Formats: sequence, C-alpha cells, structure tokens
Amino acid sequence: MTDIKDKISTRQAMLLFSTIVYSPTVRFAGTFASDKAKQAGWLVPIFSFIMLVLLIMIIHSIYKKYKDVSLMDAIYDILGKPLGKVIILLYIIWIGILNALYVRYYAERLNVSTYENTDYRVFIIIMLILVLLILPYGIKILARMNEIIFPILLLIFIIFMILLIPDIDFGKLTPVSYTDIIPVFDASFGITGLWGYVLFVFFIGNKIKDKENIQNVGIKASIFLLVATTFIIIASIGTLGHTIIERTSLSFLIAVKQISFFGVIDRLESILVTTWVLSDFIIITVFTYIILDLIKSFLNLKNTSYLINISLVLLYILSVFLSKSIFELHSFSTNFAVYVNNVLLFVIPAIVWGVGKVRGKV
Amino acid sequence: MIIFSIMIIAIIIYEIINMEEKVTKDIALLIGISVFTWLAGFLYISDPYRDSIVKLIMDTLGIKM
Repeated sequence: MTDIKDKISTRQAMLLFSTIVYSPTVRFAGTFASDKAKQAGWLVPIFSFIMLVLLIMIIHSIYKKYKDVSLMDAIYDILGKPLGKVIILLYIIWIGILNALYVRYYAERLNVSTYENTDYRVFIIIMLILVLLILPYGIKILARMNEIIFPILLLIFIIFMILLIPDIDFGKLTPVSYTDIIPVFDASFGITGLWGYVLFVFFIGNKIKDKENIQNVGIKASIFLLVATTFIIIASIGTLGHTIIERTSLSFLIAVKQISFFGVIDRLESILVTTWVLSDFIIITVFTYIILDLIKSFLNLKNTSYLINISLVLLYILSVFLSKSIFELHSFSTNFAVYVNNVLLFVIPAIVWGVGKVRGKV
Repeated sequence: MIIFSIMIIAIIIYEIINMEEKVTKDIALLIGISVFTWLAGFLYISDPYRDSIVKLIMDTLGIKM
C-alpha cells in the first residue's frame, strides 16, 4: 500500500482530470459537435454529462468496497486474474496510443497555429524532456503543479468567454427542435469519449485518498465540465457558424482569433496556445505515469522508475511514426479513437461493475 | 540510426547500473522494451515516408480516412 504522504486527494485527482480534458475538448468538441449536430451542437454536453455521472457512480461504487487498492486490483478480483490481465493489457496499449496521439497533436498544433516553419519534432523533444524531469517525482508533485496550472487555465478561459460574448450570434445556435435529439446523441460520443478519462485517473486509485468523496467531488467536476464545454461549443458555433466550424481542425482557436476589444485587445490566440501546452504537459505526464503504473500491476513489479527514460524514447518514436499529417490524426480521432474510448471507458467499466454486482463484490 | 542505437544501449546500461535491486525480471523487461523501441525506431528511421501507424490501423479495420 502506498504511504498516505505520497497520496493525492480526490479533489486533486479531479483537478488533474479537468486539466487533462481541457486541451482535447478545446481542440475537438466544437468541430465534432457541429459536424454531427450542426447548430444544436451546444446541447451535446448534456448527454455526455449523464454518461460521466454514471461512470463516476460506477467508480464510486467499486471503490466503496475496494478502498485501498488500485482499479486494476479491483478488476482482477471481480473478473479473475486471466481476464483482468487481458483487459489491463488492452488499456496499456490504448493509453499508449492515446499518449502518442496527444504528443503529436501538441506538436502539430504549435506548428499549425504559431510556428509554421519549425520542425514539429523539436517541440516533441522539448516536451518529453520536461516530462522526464517531472515524472520521477511522482503523482503528488504533479498534482501540486496542477493546482497552480488549473486556476491559470480557468482564469484565461473565463476571460476569453467574456471577450467572446459580443461576437456570439445566437441566431447561429438556433433553431433547435426534437429532430435534433438523434444527431445530438450521435455527437455526444465525441465528448463522452474524452470525459471517460476520469477512469484513467482512478486507475491509480491506490495513490488517491478520501475516495469516499468520489461521487461528491466527481459530480461537481462534471457540472463544471458541462458548463465549460457548453460555453466552448457556443463560442465556436455562435461566432462562426457550424458550417465553418465543422470544417476546421482548431475551431476554438479560430473563434478566439475573432476577439477584438475596441481594437485595443486582439491577437489573443497565442495565450490560448500557451494554455494548450500547459494542458498537454499534464496529459502526457499523467498518461505516461498511468501506463508505467499499469505495467507495474500487469507484471507484478515493485518499481518501474527504470522504465521512464526508455518509455519516453518509445513515446517519441510512436508519436512521429503515428501519422504523416494533422489530417490523419483528426480522422483517427473522429472515426476511430472516440468510439474505442467509449467502449474502453464506459462499456467495460459497466460490465466490470455488473459482474461485480452479480458476484456480490461491489 | 547509429546514434539512435547508441542512445538505446546507453539507456540500458545507465538504468541497469542505477537499479536499486538488480532483479532478472526487471532487467529482462527493460531489455525487451528497449528492443521494441529500437525496432520501432529502425522501422521509422529506415523509411520515414512509409505508411503511418494510423493509416495501418484504419486500413486494417477498413475505416475510410
């Protein structure tokens, strides 16, 4: 069992989760929602919110019985070791692919938005060196760093929202009718897939204390994400309309580019890019940490710190090998990754919980 | 490729020297992941323009890009 001093609180875990989903949500939510649900895209987070609350209740229910262990140990106990190991192996592979995807997205986005003539691999190397410096200190230091990063992201986000209000044309967000229910449901898979990352954070449940608060803190985090994501989509679609937003890969960035406050405050997109980098740093570090922890559980190891260096080299290779362009990445995310996320982050936990209920283990 | 190979070997040596307990399982895992990394790096560096992992996955599953 991890010493209590090395543990983070449930609140810190939820803050990590909120920072993790910031960057993919800003990049992806507006485009995916407007592509599937058109002008009604801003209603998409409602369906995702319901799914997230259900997932948090499942995690809470599992941790009520398995107080001091990781989610992996709970899965082993509920499904049995052989099946549990197969599932954990699936998660290791998938989080590895997602991590490479986010490393590449981070670099491509800097390339597309700000540094057009710079080799994207330079950004990847700089990021991985930063991750290498922080990772050995563990999740507690990362959670503390995030307690500084999260308020900065939140403050900048609120300022952007206030400055975007004059540019929002509410006519672009209507009409909405009952015929939009199916497209909105279809579009919700995208955001639901991202919000399922809360499960990844609770894979390291043995390093999280006061887990009796998961439901309470989790629902607060869900409401925050519901409001923030709805605003992001309203700002994106309301500023430029769904026809433009669904064709862009960086919808919120384009919306932020429209901000001009009496000609005095404009060109604020560089601040948005900075917040993305902060969020990407947290994603990449947390995902790498979780992969190493999963490997530790999978192979019954005492320590995996000797894998940090080589795993970051592997992450570099996978991220450059992953795709040839941002269009391939975008296609992979929208046509494949979101659906795999939904299966791995909602369907499998629901099955584990159901089996646990039948066997009287949760 | 030579620099990449030297880097991988250097990481293996560094990690083995700095291991608190030199357990065979840990060393085998480190070498296994290093070999996998080297193979992935070899595939990429030998032809950076070959089909990407994303394209391979999407083609295998028959999903249009």
